[in-house]
Amino acid sequence: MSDKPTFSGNADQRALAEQIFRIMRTQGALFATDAPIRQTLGNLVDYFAAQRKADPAQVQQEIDTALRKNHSVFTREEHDGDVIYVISRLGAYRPRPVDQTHMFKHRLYEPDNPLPVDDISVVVTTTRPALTTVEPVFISDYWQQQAGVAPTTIEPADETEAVVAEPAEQAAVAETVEETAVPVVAPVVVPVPSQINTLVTLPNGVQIDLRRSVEDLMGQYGPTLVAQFRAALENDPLRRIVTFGNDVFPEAAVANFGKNDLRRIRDYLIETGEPLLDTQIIADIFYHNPRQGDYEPFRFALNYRLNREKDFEFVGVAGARLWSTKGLPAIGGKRIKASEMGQIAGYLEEDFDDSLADQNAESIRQDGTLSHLLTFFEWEYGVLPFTKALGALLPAPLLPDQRTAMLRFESPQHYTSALVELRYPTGNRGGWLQGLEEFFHERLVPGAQITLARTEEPHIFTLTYEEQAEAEERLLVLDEKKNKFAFANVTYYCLVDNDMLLNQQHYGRLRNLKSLPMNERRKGDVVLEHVFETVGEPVGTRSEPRYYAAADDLYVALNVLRPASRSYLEHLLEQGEFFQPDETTPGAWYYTPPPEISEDEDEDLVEEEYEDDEE
Amino acid sequence: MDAKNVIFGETALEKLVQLLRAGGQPRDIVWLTEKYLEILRELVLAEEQRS
Repeated sequence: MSDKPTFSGNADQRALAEQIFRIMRTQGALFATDAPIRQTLGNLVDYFAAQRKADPAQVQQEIDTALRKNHSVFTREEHDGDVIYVISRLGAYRPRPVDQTHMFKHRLYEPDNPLPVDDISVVVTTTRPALTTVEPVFISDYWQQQAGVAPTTIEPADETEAVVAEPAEQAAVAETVEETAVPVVAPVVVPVPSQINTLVTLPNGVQIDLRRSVEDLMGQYGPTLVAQFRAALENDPLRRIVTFGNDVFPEAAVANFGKNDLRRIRDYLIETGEPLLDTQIIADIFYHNPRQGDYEPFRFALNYRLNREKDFEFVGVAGARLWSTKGLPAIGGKRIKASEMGQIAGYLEEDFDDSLADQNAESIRQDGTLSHLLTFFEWEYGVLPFTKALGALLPAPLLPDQRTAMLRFESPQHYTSALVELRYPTGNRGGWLQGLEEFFHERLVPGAQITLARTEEPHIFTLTYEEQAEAEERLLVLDEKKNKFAFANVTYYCLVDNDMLLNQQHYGRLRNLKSLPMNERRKGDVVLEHVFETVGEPVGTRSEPRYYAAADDLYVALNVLRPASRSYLEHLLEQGEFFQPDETTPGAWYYTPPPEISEDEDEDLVEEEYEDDEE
Repeated sequence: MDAKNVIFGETALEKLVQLLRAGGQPRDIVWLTEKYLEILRELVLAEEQRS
């Protein structure tokens, strides 16, 4: 966008005005864009007369005429007989308006969210000082109204008050009422529809009319009202009502837990070796019975207090409040660090999550089941990326800052179960499930179709697969000791998608794939280049290598080193500098690696640079 | 009370605390929000009736 103003006058005048504008703008290059830049006519004449070697008087007239023609840009001022022109970097100089609508003194005396005032002594001390000194204390109208000291300012209202009609004869007989004992005619109150303000403004600016019924209001604004009310409770400086999840209770009635209680809970969790439900902790440590009247308040207190202790972490979901503590064994081993996995799964948060392309989130929620094809990475590390499809099946976090939830996946086919950690997405880092490595390795192969389903317990799920007759193939495996991929005979009994099965026949080249370190695998483009070089068919020459591969094969191969969706792969191919689509075959791509500089050439270049320096 | 003096989540919170304490059991926040709206309605509509 150009910020140059337009100039008027004939061609010479326009050119001159533009030149002067450029000079003055250069003079104020470091000024604020709307700050005034001033220059005298005398200085301009000296400069142009010297430049053009012309008569100063004539130059002065030319400049003055040109700038008068462009008075919309050049503001002319006269001081002590000298003519001064003013512009700004944006063009004409316009003084900045002074905004006094948000003054600190207003905010100080009339804050947006003031503390509740039950008594004026909260604001100003009412106790008498030791030495009585008369000092004026300013109390704003606002606080005086809050404390009931000053009457509330009533804004002029046209029809707000009921009209009291006084009969005319009442005034006439008023003086003789007592003597004549004439029955007094009562003032007739004519009812007028009240115009009293019933609109309450919520902190987010939404206005609700309290004339409407509670059902109506909750029906229309339910989630907003609950969210605003929750925020208000959390912001209450006196913390009169506290929350845990969706439960609320008065803080004063919440039982306290001593250090000894907390130590006993922690020891019990460590002894058990896995997170425990709040009900289990209460039953086993505090011997409380659910039939006791104070059971639910005690349960609330336990959850609320543990949530405020840094040694404990809430890892439950709505309906199953599980607690973990420091020192419990990690779920899913230590092969992948959480920080690395979060970055690897980050593509899901960058809108490359196509898990709902074939299935509907609503149907997953209703049916409570989800089918999924296992990729090599998922199988190898027992990890499932937290896609939107998985999000529709699994429970949402109960607490706003909750990072993880512990779930149990049961296998009804084998009567086994696995404790699985669900890491929720945070910011630009994706979420994932981990802890299924053992089950996957024992029962499944990459390419197997698994079905996850809800149970009646909110934190327990089932994991099933379709069984089939014994099959044996040479499949890709990772030899972790040598850190190399290889093919080995594997016998399996599950139904697989043949396109996703990494057998030697189809994906033989994958044995040359390098098992890149995890911190390199988060760079999708780098991993794809390496995968393309490995799995692609060489179609170039030794000096100018080029590879050719189908996107379907690249998808399977890329998912050996890192999870990736088809849309993410497509994005990498389209954005990659060295990838070209095959115009004749849809879904096929070429990869031309950038020319590498050999070590000899590199050394030669360095030597040449040194020689140049010496010269 | 005039509705313009109502601060949502602050005005009449003490009444809500008393209500919760009287019940003696933790309650759902949706239930509490409804009760709070009822209390605010009573306050504002009582003013309307007085005027």
